[in-house]
Amino acid sequence: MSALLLKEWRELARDGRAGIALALLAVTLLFSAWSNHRDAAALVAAERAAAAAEQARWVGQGEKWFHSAAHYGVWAFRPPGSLPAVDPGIRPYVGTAVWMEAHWQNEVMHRPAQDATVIERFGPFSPAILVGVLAPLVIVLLAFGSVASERERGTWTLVLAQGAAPLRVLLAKALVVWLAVAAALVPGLVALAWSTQRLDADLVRFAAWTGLAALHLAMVAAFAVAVSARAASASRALVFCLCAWVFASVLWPRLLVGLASSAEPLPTRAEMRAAYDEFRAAEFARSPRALQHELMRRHGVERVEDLPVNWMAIGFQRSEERGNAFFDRLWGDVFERMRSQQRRVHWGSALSPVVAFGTLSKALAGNDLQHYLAFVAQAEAHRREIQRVLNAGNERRPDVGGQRHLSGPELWSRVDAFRFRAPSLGAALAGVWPALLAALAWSVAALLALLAASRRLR
Amino acid sequence: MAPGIGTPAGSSAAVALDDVHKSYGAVPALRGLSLQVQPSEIVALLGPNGAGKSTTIRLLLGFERADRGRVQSAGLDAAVDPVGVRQRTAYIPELVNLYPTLSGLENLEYFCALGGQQPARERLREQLLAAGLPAEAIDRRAAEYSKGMRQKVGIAVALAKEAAVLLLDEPTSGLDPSAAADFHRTLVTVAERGVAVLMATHDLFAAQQAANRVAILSAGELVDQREVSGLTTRALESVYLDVIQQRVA
Repeated sequence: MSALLLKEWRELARDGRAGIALALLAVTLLFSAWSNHRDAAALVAAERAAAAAEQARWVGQGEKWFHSAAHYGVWAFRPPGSLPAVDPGIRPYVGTAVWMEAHWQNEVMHRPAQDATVIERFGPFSPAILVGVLAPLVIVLLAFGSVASERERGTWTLVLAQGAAPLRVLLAKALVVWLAVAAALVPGLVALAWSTQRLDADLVRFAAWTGLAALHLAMVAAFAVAVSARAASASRALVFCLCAWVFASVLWPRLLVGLASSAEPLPTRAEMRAAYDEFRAAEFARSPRALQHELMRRHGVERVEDLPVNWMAIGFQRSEERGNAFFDRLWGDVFERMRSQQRRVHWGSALSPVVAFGTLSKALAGNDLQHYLAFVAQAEAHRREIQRVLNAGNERRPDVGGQRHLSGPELWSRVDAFRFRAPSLGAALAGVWPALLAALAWSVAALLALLAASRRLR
Repeated sequence: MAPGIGTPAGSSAAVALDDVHKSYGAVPALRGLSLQVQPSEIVALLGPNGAGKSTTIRLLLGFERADRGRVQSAGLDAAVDPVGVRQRTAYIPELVNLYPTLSGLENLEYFCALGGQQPARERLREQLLAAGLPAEAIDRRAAEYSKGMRQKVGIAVALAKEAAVLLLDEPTSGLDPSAAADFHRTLVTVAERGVAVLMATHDLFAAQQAANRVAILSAGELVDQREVSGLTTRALESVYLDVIQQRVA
């Protein structure tokens, strides 16, 4: 086998066009790694600084009535993911920070895509896109003629006449193309590993991502060589491979997102606003008298002023709980529709290995819908905890003579700073299991295609 | 018709075709061909274009399957175990095409590896020189080779394989007369080692020089086969033309 690999390697190494394509790929990934690391480092630093400043602002807000503090509010910031320099995923298109205040579950705001420069709007330039989409194109360019050209050139008859098992020859061809592309990607991958370590990101996830990329590229190499072996000519092999690449990388992903959105439409902003306004109006219309009477009965007093508890703190907490139930229903429905859309996209991996790779890459990078919704859920849980602590901290402190009690840093610091905890690697992968299954199925299918092509060559 | 035509393949034959039929669509290429080549024997397969010579070679290499009949080479059925047959059979095509970015030596090294051999580089150099490739060309890229030089690498590939059967399809095409004569002498040496050689050719001189026996095909049928011993090239040409003309008539 080593002699077969050596021959394929020599041919590739001496083909100037292959060298240019591989060098271009290497430089592009290296540049992308540098550029994404720079952005990610700035994001990580900004997120950490902003989170620290926000906590300091919260704790240092001075003495005030607890409900004023509840409206004083605090921001929760979403960290840039487990592999920030590798795959920004949906991060540019969803919010990165949420304002946490009393009564309202606010929408996550500040979408990086809104601030993108004209150059950035040409399209994403992440290492994940390069490895998932551009590297397969380079593989196609290197492999489309691997067998078909030999057949046209007349060397293939002599190859078969030597009695070599065709599968060994095809495997050698696929392996060398894969190795060549992998070698071109190594400098960029080393840079990304350095970046991951430098940003205190998740090296285990990076290792898993690298393994996924290796599997993805090996699958593409096997398919391209199988197509070359089956095609009547090298030009037909190239046309078929390019059509497959365009379908898998460009057409199907967009079509899939469109289909998923049509099947599970999200409520419009106006519909959401109307539901909010209706709830808000009902809350404002609610009279405090029922609560006051209930508390007076429970504590056996005749006047609100004689209550041993702070009826407003209790009222605010009850209002929070009604709001929580309302937001759970409202956002729960929206998020379930998003998850449903996402599941359809995951199943769409069955028709495109690029969709499978993209889905898994985003999941490993911590920048997919699952991680975004985990952030939203954790931020909302944190908001509710702030309200609960503020209200509970004042429940036993009734106003005396119409004088409101003031709280201070001791109460504010009872709430820990918000810290997002990403789902574990296992949970992240379990959430995208159809794509994982599809990636494995595509790999097996590529091997079977190679095997079937080799049988026809006998 | 000479005796022996249509005889079933004997068990000692290195190459044996038994009542082989092969058609391409409605066009018959071989019609009931039976032919044997014994170890140490060189048989020249003669015939005009379209007689079925190349089809016979392709069947023996397992590249095609016979519609009917049995094709055996080196003790194996070519339809059942084509890869096994090729491992025991060396082949030189009419046009040897090489990998242009590899040198002659690297080409030979690769083809040997495909056959499961990994001889030392010095041994491969010797084989290229023995096949007539100039020493200074051995490490040059094959893109710079003439047709004759490529043919010599093809000969080296076949000889390096040390197979039990050697199949040749117009092997001296592109060789100068001197190189062709050297090649015929090499063939005789190879056959003396026990190798069975079947050579499809138009070249009656080559057949007379190298072969023990000629088999003449016409329109897919074996119409004559005879020993070459004692025949001059002119006599062989006369036999060939008579047989073909009779067939046409």
